[in-house]
Parts: sequence; C-alpha cells; structure tokens
Amino acid sequence: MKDFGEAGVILNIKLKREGDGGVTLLQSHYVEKVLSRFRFSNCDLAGAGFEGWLFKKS
Amino acid sequence: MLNTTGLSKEWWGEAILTTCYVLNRVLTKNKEITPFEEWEKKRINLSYLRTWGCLAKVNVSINKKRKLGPKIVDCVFLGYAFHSVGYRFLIIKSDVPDMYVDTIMELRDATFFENEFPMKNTPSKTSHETIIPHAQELSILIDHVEDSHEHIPEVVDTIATQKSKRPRAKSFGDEFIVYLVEDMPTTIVEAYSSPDTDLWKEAVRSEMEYIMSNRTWEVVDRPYGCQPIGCKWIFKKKLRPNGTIERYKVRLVAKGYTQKEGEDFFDTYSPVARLTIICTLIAVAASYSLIINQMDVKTYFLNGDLDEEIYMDQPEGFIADGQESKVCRLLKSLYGLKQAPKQWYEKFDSTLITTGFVVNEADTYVYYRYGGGEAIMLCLYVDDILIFGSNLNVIEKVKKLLSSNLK
Repeated sequence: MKDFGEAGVILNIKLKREGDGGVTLLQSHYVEKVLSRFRFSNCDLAGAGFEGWLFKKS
Repeated sequence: MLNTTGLSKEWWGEAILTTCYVLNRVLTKNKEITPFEEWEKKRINLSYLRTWGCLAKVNVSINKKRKLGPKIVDCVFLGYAFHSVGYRFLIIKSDVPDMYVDTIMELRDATFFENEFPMKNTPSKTSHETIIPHAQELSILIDHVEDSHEHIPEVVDTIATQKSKRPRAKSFGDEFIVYLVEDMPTTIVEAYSSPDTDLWKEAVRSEMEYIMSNRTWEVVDRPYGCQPIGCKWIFKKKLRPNGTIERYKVRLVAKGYTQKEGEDFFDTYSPVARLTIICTLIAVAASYSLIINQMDVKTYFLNGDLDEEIYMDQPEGFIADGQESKVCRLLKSLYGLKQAPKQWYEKFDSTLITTGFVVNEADTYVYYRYGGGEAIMLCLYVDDILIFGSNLNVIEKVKKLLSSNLK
C-alpha cells in the first residue's frame, strides 16, 4: 500500500483544491505534454473558429 | 523499372524494395564481397532472381485448387518475400474464386516468362518507349547473375556509379529489429549473464522475497494427473522521460492462458469505477468540504486469495534442492492468472465490508461509512483508491486499516 496523501492526480485529471473548499479539475498538464511532444509548446496563439463567449457563464 | 515494365506508379515501393534486395546481393564498387555476404557471413546462390515486373503463371495452392477448376493464375512478379523463400505477385487475371485481381500474394511455385511484361500494353502506347537506363541495366544485371558469377564485376561497375547518386535505402527490416530487441532479457539465465547482472539479481530477489513473505504458494508433491501451469519471469527497465533508467523491474507471471475455464477458473470480472462517478464524488467533496486522499496498491494482483486449486511449476532459478519434481500449489493469486482481478476485488470488498463499510447500491466500487459526526467514502479504480473523509483523523484510521489488511 502506498499512501499519496492529498489526492493530486487521478486518471490523468489534476485536482486543485480552492481556498473555499471547491475543487477544480484540470487537464492542462496533459495538453502541455501533448504540445511539447509535437514541439508546439512555443507556437503562436491564434483565434479559434468559434466564439468563446458561448461557453462562458452569462 | 516502372516504365519498362508498364506498371503504374503505385508500385514504386515494391520496385525500390526489389532494387535494394538485388543490390544487396551483388558486388559493390569497392568491395570484393557482396553486402549480403558481409552481413550474413554466408554465400547464396542467386539463380532464383527474376526480372521484375515480368509475367508469371502461378500454380494455385493446393487448398484453393478444385479438381476441375483452373490450376494457374496470371500474375506480375513484384519482388521477393521478406520472411520466406518465395516471390511476391500481383494478380492480374484469376478465375479462382478465392484469389482476387489486384491483390498481392506470396508464393513459391510459379513459372516465369521473363520477356513478357503483361502490364506494358495497357497504359498509353508511347510511355514504354522511354526507358530508364538504370532499370534496363538492372535487368541485364539479373540475367548476368543468373548466367554465372564470374561476369558480375564489369556490369556492377556501371551500376554502382549511377547508384551512388541515390540515397542508400538498405533493408529497413534490420534497423527495425534493433529497436525491438533492445537488451531486455527474456529468461532468467539471460538476465544473469547480461551486463546488468547485479541489478537484475537484486530485482529478482526482492520480487521473490515479496512473494515468499506473502505466502503465495506452498511446495507440494504433484498430484496424479495434474498438469501444472507454467510461469515466467518478465524483465523490464523502467525509463524516465529523458531516457535514463529509473529502476529494474521484475515480475513473476503465471501462464494464465493455459488455464481451463470451469476447472482452473470460473469468473474473471472485476468492476471499475466510471469517470462520471469519480467526478460526482469530487463534486460532493467540494460542496461538503471533504478531504480527498489517494492511495495506491503495490502489486495489487498478489493480494487476492485463491479459491481454486491451482498448481504451478516452480519458478526458474528458484527450484528448491531435492524437490525438483514438486510443484507450487498457489494460495494467493499471481499476475497472469485469469481470476487475478476478480480475486483482488473480492479481497478488497470483503475487507471493507467486515470493517463496517456499506456498498453503494448504484455503484459497487463505491463504499461509505458514517456515524458519530464523521463520514468517509472510498472509491476504487483498479489499484487506485480515492478516500473522501470529513476529517483527517478518520482518513488516517481507514488508511491504517487498509495497509494492515492489504499489501
């Protein structure tokens, strides 16, 4: 049995504990890994083909 | 070559492979012996080489032949088979039901018509007038090779000078094998004679020590009529992302594929948590401010107890003196056994039930216990355990409990 203490990553999802008790699920480390694997970490950003505000809470 | 023989451009790959194949078997400019001889340290008879793209009447193999059906199919010779003594053919005309036109097959039994190029007449008439000198010479070369070995040098000189402009595409096969082979030992004898003997020995020793301390088996006489299942050592170097070796890993695995269903094993299932459940639990944890902890089970398959009576050969390198004819009766499950995942799940399940946990009705891999102002939830994902608790105390208690019952 190996104790990891506070859960950090489970099934490749990073858990980030917020100050107010909330939990944020992140996979940005995975995205970064994929980008660096294809040598795209330093690529320039460009606008996406859809409108970001659609996904934002109003 | 493509133009001379009238084959379409899609066959350039076959053409290159064949060219390489032939070039590796004839003399180069500077050397007295052929690349093939240098590499394989043996001489070959080149009489089996044929003109590329020529017509071949291939005898239909016996299992596809019908008594009154056709006995040959018309093909174009495309190259040499990689892994067997034979040729590759593109079928151009076939009356045999199982052999389709425009497919490639590898066979040995064929008659070649080296002056006939069946594909030559199908494309536009002018195209075959332009002949690549190289291709022509190559076919001359092949003819010479077939005639006698003494004539080769003069011909080769002209070829070799032309050849040097091209990138040398030597057989891709050998390089590919180099990647596969690495230097991972496959048997314990190999591991002990490799340069990393000490590291492997240490890894084997620790795995064996663990198995012994776990009381995985007992050595008993072989019962009459029993065929013990085999076992095998698996060696692996765990690499860090930068390519350096992190540690040497050794596992003893049972050859579970020889187990018989209904005799050596019955069920093999094991539940696994769904991702949505994990997300739901995390959401619950967020809204009730629970503490989330994580545990991981080392060698989790070695934990399960076995219900079935399974006998296994003694592992290579650890055969007890004077007990060579005895076998191991397995008491605990081992990697490779069919029922290993199920036994692990059952062990985990019973451990938790006996300590007062309740199984969630909807998802059997979620356990919970509450009372006295404390609550705790457990979620199992194969060998990862997520623990949600209302305070650290209760989490520590559960962790101690798990560690004492499971390894």
